[in-house]
Amino acid sequence: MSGTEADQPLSPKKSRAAKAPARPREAADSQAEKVLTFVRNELPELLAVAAVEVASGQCLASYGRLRPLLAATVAEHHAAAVRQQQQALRVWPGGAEQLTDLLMPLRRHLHLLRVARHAEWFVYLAVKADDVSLALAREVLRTVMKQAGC
Amino acid sequence: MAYSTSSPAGQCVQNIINALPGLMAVAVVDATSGMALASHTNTPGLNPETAAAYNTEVVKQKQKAMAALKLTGERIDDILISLTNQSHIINLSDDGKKFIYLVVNSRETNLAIARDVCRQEAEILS
Repeated sequence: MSGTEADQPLSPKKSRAAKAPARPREAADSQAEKVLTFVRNELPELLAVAAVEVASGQCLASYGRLRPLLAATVAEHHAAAVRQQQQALRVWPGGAEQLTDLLMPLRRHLHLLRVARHAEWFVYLAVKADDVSLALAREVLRTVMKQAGC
Repeated sequence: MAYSTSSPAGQCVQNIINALPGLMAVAVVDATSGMALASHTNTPGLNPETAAAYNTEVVKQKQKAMAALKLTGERIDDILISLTNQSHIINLSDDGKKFIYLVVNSRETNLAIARDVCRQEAEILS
């Protein structure tokens, strides 16, 4: 992945803009940090992992080799993709379906998004396809989010 | 049924129905406009053309994310979307101008099989 720098630490952003979530922000931040820590432990070779708020596209926490500005841009596009998908589900018959994950396997990289239980935020994970299989990366995300209670 | 098997898009839809008769919906979509070239649904009330229009935006957002990351030599082959009880697959043709949009019930159809069927049929769209 280009546009890289030295590894960045977990970087929760404490100041937030106008859109207030239904649940306390601190709870989402805390869960997000927990998930990122679990993912880093399970997949130390990962390229990037971030927790992103769906409504605003802001990073709640992130870790990886992306510059902060680039990580923010990517987070916004992924949040827009999740919002589009959620909008599509609103016109879906029955209305009982919830978005669980969005997998985007590329040639050399695997990009995965997994939405937290209340659909307020999601985890973005990028790994090298040579390092981890799509199925394993998906399973790790599923397991760690379950462990973190989200 | 909104397709004719005389077109590659219609043939593609027919082949997917033959391979996965239990599918919920399928469409071949123009990736630029989001309009369906051929579509079929087995689910009352489910219009694959409407869903395809939203999913075109999902593809575009991912392409923007990839452009921001400057992922040279990379391209999107497919996007796999898991819902509570369904799997949605978007499989782009080699030239990226069209995509197959397939909806299956995840309890009846394995995601890997559905993905493989889409991958094979996407070849006839280029």
